[in-house]
Amino acid sequence: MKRYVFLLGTRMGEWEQLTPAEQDEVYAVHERFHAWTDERGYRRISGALLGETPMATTVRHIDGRRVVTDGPFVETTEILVGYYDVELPDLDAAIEAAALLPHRYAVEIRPVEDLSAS
Amino acid sequence: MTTTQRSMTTAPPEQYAILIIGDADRWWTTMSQGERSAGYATYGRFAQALAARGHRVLGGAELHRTSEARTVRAGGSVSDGPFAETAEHVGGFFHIETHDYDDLLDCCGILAELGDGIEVRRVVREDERVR
Repeated sequence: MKRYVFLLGTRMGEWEQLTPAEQDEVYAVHERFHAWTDERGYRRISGALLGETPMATTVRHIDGRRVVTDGPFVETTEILVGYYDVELPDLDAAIEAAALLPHRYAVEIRPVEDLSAS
Repeated sequence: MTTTQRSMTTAPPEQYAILIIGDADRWWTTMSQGERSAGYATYGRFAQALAARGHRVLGGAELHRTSEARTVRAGGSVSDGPFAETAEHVGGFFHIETHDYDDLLDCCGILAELGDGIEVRRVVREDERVR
């Protein structure tokens, strides 16, 4: 098994434009993704949905000083709204799994560095 | 304020995602072995601070270089590389549960020493999904 992280991105402000029924459907698609992994015995190591607002705090070091600011690190129209950390057999399975997630997302598939093997 | 929050152990904890954003590929390209060792030591210091200060790690991962990324877009098309066309990408993340957001931000200052931006985002609670 290999380990992949799915980063879920979408356009900022889109969530508020969905009707409650459409939002429920998004959650239902997540549930179906969970069921798909469970049925195949693929382990979901962790995962979370993040608020789809620019509410964030960013900590940086600038010229040796710690600077804490409100807002996300990069101001873009697309924001990260969630992630899954999953064990899957290979990249093909990862692509198949990612395509099951709500189609409002762009899903970035990132292999995880296995520190125990390096 | 921080002291007050720390003593409020009965308040329900919140979950946060800590996103490490920057030139993530430098770990695989330009950083020397020594710099990488020092970098991992900084991450070790962060993990120790979390444990000592009562922040619980629920998940997290170090991601491989962005050239190994694939993106599945709405409609199902698959492309190479990350979805955002920026110079800065998520190189890793932590998923944390804590009673003390301010102290968590303080811990994040350790990671920021390596030059990345550390973006902290609250995770959506189950009860917030009910509409």
